[in-house]
Amino acid sequence: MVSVERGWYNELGEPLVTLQLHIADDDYLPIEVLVDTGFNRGLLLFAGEARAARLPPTRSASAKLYLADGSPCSARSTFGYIRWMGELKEIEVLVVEHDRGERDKCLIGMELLKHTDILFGPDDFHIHALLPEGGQAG
Amino acid sequence: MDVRVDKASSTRWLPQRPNGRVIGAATAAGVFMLTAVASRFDWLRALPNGKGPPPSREKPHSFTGPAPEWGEGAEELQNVATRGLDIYARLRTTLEAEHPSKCIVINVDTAEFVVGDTFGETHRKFRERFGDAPSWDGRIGDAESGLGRTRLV
Repeated sequence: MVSVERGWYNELGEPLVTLQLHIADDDYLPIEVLVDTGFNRGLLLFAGEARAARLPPTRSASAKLYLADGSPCSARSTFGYIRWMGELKEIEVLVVEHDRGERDKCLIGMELLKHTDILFGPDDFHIHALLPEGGQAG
Repeated sequence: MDVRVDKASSTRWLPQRPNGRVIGAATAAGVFMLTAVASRFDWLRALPNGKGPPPSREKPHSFTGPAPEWGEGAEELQNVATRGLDIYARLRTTLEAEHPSKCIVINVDTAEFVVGDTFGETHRKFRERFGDAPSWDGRIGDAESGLGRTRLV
């Protein structure tokens, strides 16, 4: 069982990891996401990614969000599946209601990163699943 | 049984002219009809004494049919958010006392809500209970305005 995700840094030194978003059957959509411990939810995507991954649209409005430039934007909540630590995992996904701009990044946040160790090396980093007490990784 | 009717007292409750004559049934029926019609329209109800409800042309939004595709339906989403915030504002004192800092998802059709420690868990519970009902989420007490806020980089 793989219980580690490997990431890298972009030219701005931001920690990125490629997430596999489940579409259907064995079909996955690879998405580059920023590891953001200041984001208190699980996964944030933009409308383009949500369409590409065929996430079910909802009428679930989320609290106001603020983009990098400080402008407010609206978002919806839905559910999807990602491949995480070698397993298919259901996750709540926040979808920003417009297509991704050049500076915008998809995020993974604390609801996904809880119960992990992140080891930041000089050239890359690793996210390890924490072993539950007396249990095994996974 | 001998029943006697005092005509004077039996007509005392009916609308009367200044000279004491009872207003005709047709006139009374007309007044009744006008009142009934007026009660159907806020703008009419507001007119006679200025104490009626404020005029309103907004209809409650109905959420029927499939949810709008991603990147579409911004107006509908705004409507859901506005209703969610209104409900949150009404419940705010109780919520902040009983569930401080918890996540909340509100059914904007019924004003029922679910609280939890994480948004994932709270939305899961909401979905089990209410299916795909229109909803609004936020973190209880997470801003002076009552707006839940999530900062993005």
